[in-house]
Amino acid sequence: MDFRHYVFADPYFGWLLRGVAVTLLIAVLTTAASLLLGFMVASRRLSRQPFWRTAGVVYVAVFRNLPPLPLLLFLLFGLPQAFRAATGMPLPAGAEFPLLIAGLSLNTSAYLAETIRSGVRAVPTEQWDAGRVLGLRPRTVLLCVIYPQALRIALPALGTRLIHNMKNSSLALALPLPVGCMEVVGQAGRIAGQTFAWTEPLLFAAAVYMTLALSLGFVVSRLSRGAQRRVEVLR
Amino acid sequence: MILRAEKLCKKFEDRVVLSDVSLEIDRGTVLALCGPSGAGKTTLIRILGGLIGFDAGCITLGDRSITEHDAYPPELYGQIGLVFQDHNLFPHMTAMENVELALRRVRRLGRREARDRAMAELEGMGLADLADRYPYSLSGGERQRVAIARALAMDPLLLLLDEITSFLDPSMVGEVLSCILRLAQRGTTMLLVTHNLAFARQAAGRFGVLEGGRLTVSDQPELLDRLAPEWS
Repeated sequence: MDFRHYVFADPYFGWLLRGVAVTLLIAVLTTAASLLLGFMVASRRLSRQPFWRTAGVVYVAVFRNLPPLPLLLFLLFGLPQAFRAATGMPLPAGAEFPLLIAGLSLNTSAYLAETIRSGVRAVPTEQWDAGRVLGLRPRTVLLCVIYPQALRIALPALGTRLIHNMKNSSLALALPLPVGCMEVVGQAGRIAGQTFAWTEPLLFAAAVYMTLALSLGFVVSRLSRGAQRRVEVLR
Repeated sequence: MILRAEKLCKKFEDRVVLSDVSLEIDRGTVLALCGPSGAGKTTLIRILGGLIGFDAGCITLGDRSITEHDAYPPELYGQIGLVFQDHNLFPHMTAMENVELALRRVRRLGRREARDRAMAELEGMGLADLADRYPYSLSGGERQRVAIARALAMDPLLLLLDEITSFLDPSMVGEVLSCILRLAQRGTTMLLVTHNLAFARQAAGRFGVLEGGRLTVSDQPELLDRLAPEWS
C-alpha cells in the first residue's frame, strides 16, 4: 500500500481534508436540524390535540420507514424534475447541499422524535404535578422540568442515533454534489477516479469515520454518566 | 377564611372516595387530617391543590369559588402550596434552583431577588449550607425540607402537606416535624395529612378524621381517639 502517493500527496491530501471538513459540516448541520425537528415532532406526538398527534405519527411513520438513500435520491433528482415540470424553471443553483442536509435531517429527526418522546414518557408524572402546583405554565414545565430530565434519560439512545446520523453523511457519495461539497468518501472516490487506487483513500476515509464515531461515542458516554446519576437516584 | 370546601364528592369509576366532605380552614390555623390508608386523604389534597377535579360540591379558596364545572383557576397554583409524600424535587436542579424556579418564572422576580428569597427560605429550613447540592446528594429529610422551602417561597395562602414523613426513616422524621412545628407557631395556615397522631395533637388546632370517604372535623383532639390504636 502506498499512502504516500495516494493519500498524503498533493493535491489528494488537500481534497481529503476538505472532505473531512464537509463531513463535519454535514454532521453538525444535520445534528442541529434533527434535534430541532425531533423536539418539534416529539412535542406534537405528546400533544393532547388529535390533529397534532396524528401529524406527529404520520411524520415518524414516513421518515422512519423510508430508507435514507431513496429519500435523498428523490430530493436531489425527483424534486428538481417535479419543480421544473410545475414551474418551468430549474431549482436554484447550489440547492443540492441544502437538500442533502434536509434529507438526512428528516430521516434522523424521525428517530430522535421517538427517542425524545420515550424519554419524556419515562419522567415520572409527579414531576408534572410538582411543576403545576408551583404555578408554572405547562410549557414552562415541559421546557424547564421535563425535557432536561428526558434528555438525560434518552442521552445514550440519542448519542447512538447521532453517531448513525454522522455516518449517514457518506450517502452523499451517491448524489450529484459539486466537487467542493463532497464529503470524505466522495473525495476518496475522486482520487480513485484519477489514480485507480481505491484502497488507500478509502482506508483513510474509514479511519476518519472511525475516529469521529469513537470521539462522539466517548463524549456521549461521559455526558450520560454524570447526567443519568442525577435522575436515577431519585426514582 | 382561607379555605371552605362544601359537600365535595369524588368517585373513581364506581368507587366513592369522598362523600359530602365539608371543611373550613381559617387564616393561621393548622388542621390535621388523619385516617386509614385509602380513606381519600390524598385525593382531597390533590383536589384542593388543583391536580384533579371533583364530581360535585364547591371549593372557596381565598376569594375564588370553584364548582365541579370550573377549571381550577391558574392563579391559585402557587398560592396553594403542596408538599408531596415523595417530595418530587426536580432532580436536575440544585436545592437553590428548585426553590428559585417558580419565583423567577411565576412571580417574575429578578435573578438576585429570587436568589435572596430562595436562600431565606432555605435558611429557615436550616439548609443554607446545602443550597448548591443536588437532591440525589441530600438525605430524605433534607429533600423534604427543600420541598417545604420551595412551597413556602411562593408565600402560599395555604400549605397542603401530604404525609410528608411517611417515606422517611424514624431518624429523619423528627427534623421534618420540628420544621412543621415552627411553621405552625409562626402562624402558617396548613392542612396537614399525617399518620402521626402525637404530632397531629402537638401541631394542629383543629382535627379531622376521614373514614370511608366521610370527614368529621372537631376542635377537640379527642376526635383522633376514635381511630383504632393499631392504625397509627
